[in-house]
Amino acid sequence: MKRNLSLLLGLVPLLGLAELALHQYFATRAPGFEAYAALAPELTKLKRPGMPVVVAPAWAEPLVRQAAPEAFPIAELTRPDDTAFSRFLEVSLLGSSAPQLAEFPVLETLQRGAFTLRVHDNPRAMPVRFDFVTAVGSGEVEVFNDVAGERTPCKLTEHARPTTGGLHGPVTRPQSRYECLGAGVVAVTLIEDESYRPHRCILVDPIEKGEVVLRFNSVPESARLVGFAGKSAFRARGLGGVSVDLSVREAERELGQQRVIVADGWSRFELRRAAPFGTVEVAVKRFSLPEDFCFALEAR
Amino acid sequence: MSRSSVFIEKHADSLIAAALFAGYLAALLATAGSLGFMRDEGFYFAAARAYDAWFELLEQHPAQALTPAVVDRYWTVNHEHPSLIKSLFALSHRFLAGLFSETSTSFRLPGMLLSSLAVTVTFLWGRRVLGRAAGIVAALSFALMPRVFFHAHLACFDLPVCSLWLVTSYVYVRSLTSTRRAWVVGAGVLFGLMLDTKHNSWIFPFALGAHFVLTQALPLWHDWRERRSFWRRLPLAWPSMLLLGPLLFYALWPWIWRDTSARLLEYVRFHTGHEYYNMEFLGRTYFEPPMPLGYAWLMTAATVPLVTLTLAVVGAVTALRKARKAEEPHRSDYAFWAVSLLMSYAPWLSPNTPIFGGTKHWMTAYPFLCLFAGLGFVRVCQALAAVAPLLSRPVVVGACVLVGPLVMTAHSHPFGLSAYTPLVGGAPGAASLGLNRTFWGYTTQSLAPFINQAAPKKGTVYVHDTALQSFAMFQEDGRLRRDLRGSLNIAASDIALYHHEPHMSRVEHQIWASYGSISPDAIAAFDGVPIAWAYARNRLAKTRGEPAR
Repeated sequence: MKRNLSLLLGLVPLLGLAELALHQYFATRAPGFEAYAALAPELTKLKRPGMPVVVAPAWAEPLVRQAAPEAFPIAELTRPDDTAFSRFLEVSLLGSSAPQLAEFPVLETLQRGAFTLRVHDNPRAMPVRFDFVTAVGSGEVEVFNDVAGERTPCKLTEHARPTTGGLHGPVTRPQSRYECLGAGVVAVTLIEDESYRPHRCILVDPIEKGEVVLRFNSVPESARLVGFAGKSAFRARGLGGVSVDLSVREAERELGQQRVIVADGWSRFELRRAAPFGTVEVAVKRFSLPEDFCFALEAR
Repeated sequence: MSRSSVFIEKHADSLIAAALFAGYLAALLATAGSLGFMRDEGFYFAAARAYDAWFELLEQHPAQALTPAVVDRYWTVNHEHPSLIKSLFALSHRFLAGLFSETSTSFRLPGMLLSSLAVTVTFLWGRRVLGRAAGIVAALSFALMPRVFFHAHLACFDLPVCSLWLVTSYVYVRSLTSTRRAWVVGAGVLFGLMLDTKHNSWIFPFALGAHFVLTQALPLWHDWRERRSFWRRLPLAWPSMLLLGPLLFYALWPWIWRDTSARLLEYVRFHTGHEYYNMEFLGRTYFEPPMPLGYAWLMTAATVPLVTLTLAVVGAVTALRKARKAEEPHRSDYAFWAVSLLMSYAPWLSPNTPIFGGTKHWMTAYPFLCLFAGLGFVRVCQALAAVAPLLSRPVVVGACVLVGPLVMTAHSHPFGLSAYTPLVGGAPGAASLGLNRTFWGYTTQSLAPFINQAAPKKGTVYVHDTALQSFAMFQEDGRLRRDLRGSLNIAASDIALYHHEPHMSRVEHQIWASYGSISPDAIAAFDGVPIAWAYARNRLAKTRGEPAR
């Protein structure tokens, strides 16, 4: 017994050496910048439009973004969720795999240096027929303030003074935006959800009374509208039951109203569409919180 | 035997202590230039400059300097923390700035000196209780903790309070057995200095009480039963600490000279009701209580070399077994090490204690942990002597248990807060586990070459988590171009920095939206893990690759 204990204690110096060896291993295990640079052309070759790139582990994503920015179109990188895409390209290192792709079968696997590239299939993808966020970004929308039925157009400005709030302040109000009476803004910006993932969305500033209306004239036919709404998760902490009402109308019929509870985070909703199809209007009203409400909408 | 040999033999311990002190200080000074400035350092630089201005006024116009309004004007700066260490920063800067090539080093010097003192005192205490080799192992185990080495550079209070806790403890324990009154007075003086350093000192009396109970409860009980006066067992250092401690605390902190009780209350309330800053732990960002109770333990395991922890556990068990014997001469020392260690961690037994400081808030435990590691080292040498005598030489065992910490610590610089031990897979493993990658915005240093190269003339740099005062020090020291302007406005910037923490990601998203780019132009990575990165608004200025470390 005593000898066994002595033997066990005698291993402590070896533990020191083993720890050193493990340190050396872990310190050099992750790929360096040159490995990412070498990966970039392969990644770009494999990447197809509408096939978001997902990096596992997630902490390596900035390195892949730096090496191959063209593999990360902003609309894919900041997608509202994963349900619209039929394919994903996973970049895996250190034996990791992306938990959000675990359910999607692997169609193809390639080994490129320290990286494993996997193409995943999403068999239940619901492709997007019309992206309302992109439409706002490209000016395919009319924006109004509507107070008691009286509509005042908001003007598209391409060279407004952009503002950013930093960690504690409001989200980015970009140069290109719709400016409404009373300094309200409608623009495409980014917010983060409760997992700190970015989402591209339509920022709508409130007006005291009435609603802000966004009118889309060229929305193609589809079975449904899938929406997402929320506020920057960091700023929504502790806001409790603060809510925003968002109503969607088509061809002068109401498709539905969505009450968005800010504290619920980036939340998804769905509205059924049916003929007759026509102009879609999204009205945002009843803010009990003045800043950073943002939504995304897709016809699928 | 030559005279020099005799001298060395006679003064070996003093020479080792001096070598440890000088060696650690030299290592800190040699590496300070490559370590960026923390957020808090920026605030303390500003406070030290204000106090320095008051010292100058005191020298030139003492009557004016001592008027209440003037005292308040200068000492209101950063009055949420006591003044001793910031005063030392100020005096060091005032008198020693000329010795260093960088202004910041003169501010950081007192922290480095106190850290080196902690290494030395760890050796002295270890030497006295455990022997020379174990004392060296204990001291170097402390010096070679990556996080300790990191914090030892800084113009902050965490290593200073760790050092003063250790030194006060040592002097106090000596006062219990020595007939020299200097130990008693010294304990009182040092306690006053500790009080004036940081609020960790509030826990120290509990350590004294616990130690007293552990070592004196039984004799006290006998005294009580036999109607002997028990007060004779009370340590003489206690009245000294009770008297000199608060006196020095008051005398050295001009802010509390006026409205003393209100201001003390404000000081206490600030720290007992401290704002909860965020901290990531196992993939979740904690903003408010309940904080995870495993935080302190897991972070210790993830950042202190495993061999040091193992030796400490062996040492603690050995101490426990030894302390059961009444004739054990070092029971009091072991008891003090144990209570200091446990008291330092005690606040994190509550889910209401903030965790935003990472490991720095319980570093007062580390010298004691290392003293136990020294005892563990002795035990391991004894065990090896029984099974493999050739390998049991202290120099062999010492080399085996110190080479890992040495290499890990050297490797961690200047990314000390990103360094994790192999137990969690190093920095990549910790990032995958969701342990904090960095905080305090100091890694701007690693992006400085990119900023200097890519920023337009008189350009504006969004500093993100770097305090503007810290950014100014980067410029004052010539690490960043002086024509640049630090800013907190992304939209108005030419270069935007981003120091990664999950909840900060909204800052990066704002940069994407403002700069129209999702591709970082420079990334500072540690062991392949991105820590901080930068974007240049002018894409022509783009430079890819790793900035110089």
